[in-house]
Amino acid sequence: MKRKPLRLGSVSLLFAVILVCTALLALLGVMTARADWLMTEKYAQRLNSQYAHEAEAQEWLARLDEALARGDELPEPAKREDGQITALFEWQDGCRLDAALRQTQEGWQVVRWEMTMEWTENTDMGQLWEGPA
Amino acid sequence: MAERKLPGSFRLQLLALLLAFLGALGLLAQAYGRSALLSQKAEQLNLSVGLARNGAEAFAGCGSLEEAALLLGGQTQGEDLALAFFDGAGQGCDPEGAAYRMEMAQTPEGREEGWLYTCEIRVYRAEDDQELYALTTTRYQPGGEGGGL
Repeated sequence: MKRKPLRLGSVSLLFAVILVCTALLALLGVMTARADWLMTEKYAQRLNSQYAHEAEAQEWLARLDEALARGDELPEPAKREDGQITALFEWQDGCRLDAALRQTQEGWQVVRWEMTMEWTENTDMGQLWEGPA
Repeated sequence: MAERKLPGSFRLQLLALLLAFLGALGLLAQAYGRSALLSQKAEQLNLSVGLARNGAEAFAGCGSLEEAALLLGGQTQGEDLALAFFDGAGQGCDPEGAAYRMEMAQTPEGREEGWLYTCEIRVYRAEDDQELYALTTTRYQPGGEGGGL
């Protein structure tokens, strides 16, 4: 009985194809995991900075309360507007706080406390081909 | 004679190829392992950031640390420390079998017209007490403790 010889070339080719596919999957896995990590880290840092701004605003609220009780000048950036005390905080990282307070018989009441983040759409396509001109 | 040598040489080459293949697979397995570990780390950080944020919002919205702890399903230890335990999905649970532990430590600062409370929120992995995330928030309460805006 004549056996068909097994050639090493075809085995190497099979191994090479398996390796290339596995390496590609590994690369994709690593890139996805890294992107997840970087995104989460960015979110964590953003939250820390947001609450640092909140702390700054609460400190301002304390100073405002003291100024109102003593009848002093309102602390920056507070101003009187339409019977309310308003303040707009803008930080360098694009975070904004729009606050408004109304004076009542008991003291004051917060009627608006909105913290927002400036968002710029990322339109950069990187190195992608944009088609024929 | 040549026919006898050929199978031996073939086996040697096949063995070398197999070893190289296994070596390469080992390296790739390491890469898979690292990416799985990084994914797990990201998931834990993501969850702990969410828990800390819940804690911060509860602290901001409630009149006292005790109320905030109750809202989160935890309890206070003394006046200025609250503990809450969460399972792997971020749901409140008993200390036994918890995956995460959250500590909220508040520091009151007396002001002329009220109190400025600073709260340090720390989330730990329960199994090895490793700190995963920390957040500091502040709340001003006019008219002393028990008052509100």
